[in-house]
Amino acid sequence: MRTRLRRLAVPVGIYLVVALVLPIVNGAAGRADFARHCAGVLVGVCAVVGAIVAIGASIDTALAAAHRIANNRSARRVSPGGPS
Amino acid sequence: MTAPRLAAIAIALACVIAGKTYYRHATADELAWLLAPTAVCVSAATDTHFVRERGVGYVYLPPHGLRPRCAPGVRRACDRDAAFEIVPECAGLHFLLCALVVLVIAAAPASWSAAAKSLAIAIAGAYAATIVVNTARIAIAVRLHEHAIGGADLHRLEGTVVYLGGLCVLYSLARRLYAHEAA
Repeated sequence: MRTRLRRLAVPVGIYLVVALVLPIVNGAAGRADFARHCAGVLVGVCAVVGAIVAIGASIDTALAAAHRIANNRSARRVSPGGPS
Repeated sequence: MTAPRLAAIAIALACVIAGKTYYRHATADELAWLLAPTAVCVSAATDTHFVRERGVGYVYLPPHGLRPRCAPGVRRACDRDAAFEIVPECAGLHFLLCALVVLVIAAAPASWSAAAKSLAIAIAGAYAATIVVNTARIAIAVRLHEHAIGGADLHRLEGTVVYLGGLCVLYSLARRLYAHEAA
């Protein structure tokens, strides 16, 4: 999960800089609707990061389960006395 | 970090600052290079027909008339009969600038020739990705509007989700492509 979050840092960081930091630097923070814009951006970012992490974790869990099942099957195929 | 990589990122960041300055004062006609292909793709994707209107952008007037739409932050859309407008605020230039930086960072060029090549690829890739992602964003907004779902806040949230999702997918694809190329 940490690796996934580290990979997300580049697109999320760049998006936040362009959507929030640069407008603030250019003086947009004083605009009446800027708080709503910020809220929309932050909620959207949390939703996307949360969705990617959740989907990634589900895929990891499914793959781990599939590996476990495959390993159990191959272990059962080996006879107790070992391969003849 | 190598000098060519630093130079490529610096050029991309300079493009972001220049692009933001250009976007602040750009008219619909000046942004036609982004708005025109987007309008064509949205028309095809949603089975609508956006037509160019000088000084405004691209307008879709449905035959049966839908509830007039008030695009967020675009006051002129409120007092028009148009059902949907693709105005300069919808051009997706912010996404294009983000995509440009993301593609340059993903490329991680090791030499000067690779830096020049990755910048050229990043510019073309960012433009193509902007048309695709912006078409998806506007097509979803048109469908939501047709079903009378949401308002300005949902439109803003949908934009963030589609743009950031597209950016993450673009970065992931670019990393894989460049890793495959290096192997």
